[in-house]
Amino acid sequence: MDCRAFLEALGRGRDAGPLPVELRQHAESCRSCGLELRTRRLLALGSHVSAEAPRAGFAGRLRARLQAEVRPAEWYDAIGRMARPAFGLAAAAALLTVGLYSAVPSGAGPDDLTFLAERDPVGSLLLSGSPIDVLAPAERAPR
Amino acid sequence: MDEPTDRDLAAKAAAGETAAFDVLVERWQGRVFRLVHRFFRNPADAEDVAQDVFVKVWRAVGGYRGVAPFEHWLLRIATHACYDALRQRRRRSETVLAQLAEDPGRWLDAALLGASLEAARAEDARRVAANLLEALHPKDRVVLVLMDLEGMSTEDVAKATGSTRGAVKIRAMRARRALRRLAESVPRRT
Repeated sequence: MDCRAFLEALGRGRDAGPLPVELRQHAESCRSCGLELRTRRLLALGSHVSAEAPRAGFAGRLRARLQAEVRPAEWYDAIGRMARPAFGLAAAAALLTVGLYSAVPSGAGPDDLTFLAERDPVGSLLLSGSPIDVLAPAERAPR
Repeated sequence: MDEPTDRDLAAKAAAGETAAFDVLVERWQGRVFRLVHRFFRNPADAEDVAQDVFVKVWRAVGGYRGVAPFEHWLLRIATHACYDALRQRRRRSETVLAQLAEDPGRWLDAALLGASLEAARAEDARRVAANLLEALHPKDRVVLVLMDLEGMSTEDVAKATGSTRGAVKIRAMRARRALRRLAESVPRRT
C-alpha cells in the first residue's frame, strides 16, 4: 500500500473503530502516515458520540427551565409597567425645572432681584419681607 | 397537511407561541445534542449545553429573519455556546499528559494506532483523548470537529461560526497543526 491509498482509505472512515491490518502495517512503516493516523484518530476518539439523542423528556425539562426564567422577567416587567408612569412624571418635572431655570435671565443676582422688585408684584412683596401682604387681596397690593 | 416550515414556526415562536417552539425543539434537539456531545463527553454536560442553546434560541428567535436556513442560524448559536463552554474548561496538554496513568496511556496509544480494544479499555482511551483535546484552542476544536467529523464545507463552517471562508481555512490549517503536535506529544507505549 502506498501513502496516497492509505490517506484515501483513512479519509473514508471518520470514526475511530479498529483499522484494517494493511492500513496499520503501512502506518507503522511510514512515519508521516503514522502521524496522520494518530492525529485523525485522536480527534475522532476524543469527540466520540456515545448517545445519539438526549435523554427522554429533554423538551419538557427545557420548557420548565424556560418557564422558570420567564417568571422573574414577567415580575420585573410588572414592576416596570407600574414604575414607568412615575419615571415619566419625574422626568417631565425635571425637564420643566430645567426649562424654567434656563428661561430666567442668567445675569448677575442683584439685577434679577431688581427685575423682580420692579416688575413683578408678588416678587416685590416677597422681597419686602411681609408675607401677610402677599396673602392680601391683589387690589391692595402696591403697584 | 404539509409540515410547517422552520421559518413559520420561528415566526410563531417569536410571537410567543410556545407550541411552535416545542415543535422546533423536537425537530432539532437531536442535531444540536449530537454536535454538542462531540465537545462534551459526558451526556449530562452535553444536555446542559444543548439546553443553553435552545434557551438562547428562544430569546433570540425574534431576530431570525428567515433569509438563511434555520439550521445555519441554529448552528451558529450552538457553535458559540460550545465555544463559550469549552473556553471555561480549557486546560494545558502538559497537565493532562502528566496525570496520564500507565494503563490508559497504553490504551490511548493502541487506539491511536487503530488497534482493537476491549470496551472498558476503549472507553479509557476515549476519556484520555477527550481530556487531551481540551488543550486545543476552543475555536480550533470547533472548526476541526465541524469540518473533519461533521463533514461540513468551508462555506458552511464559515456560516456556522460567523466567519469568512478565508478565515476558516486559515483556522483549520492552524488547528490541524496544533492537533498534530498534540498527537505527537502522546508517549508511545506499545
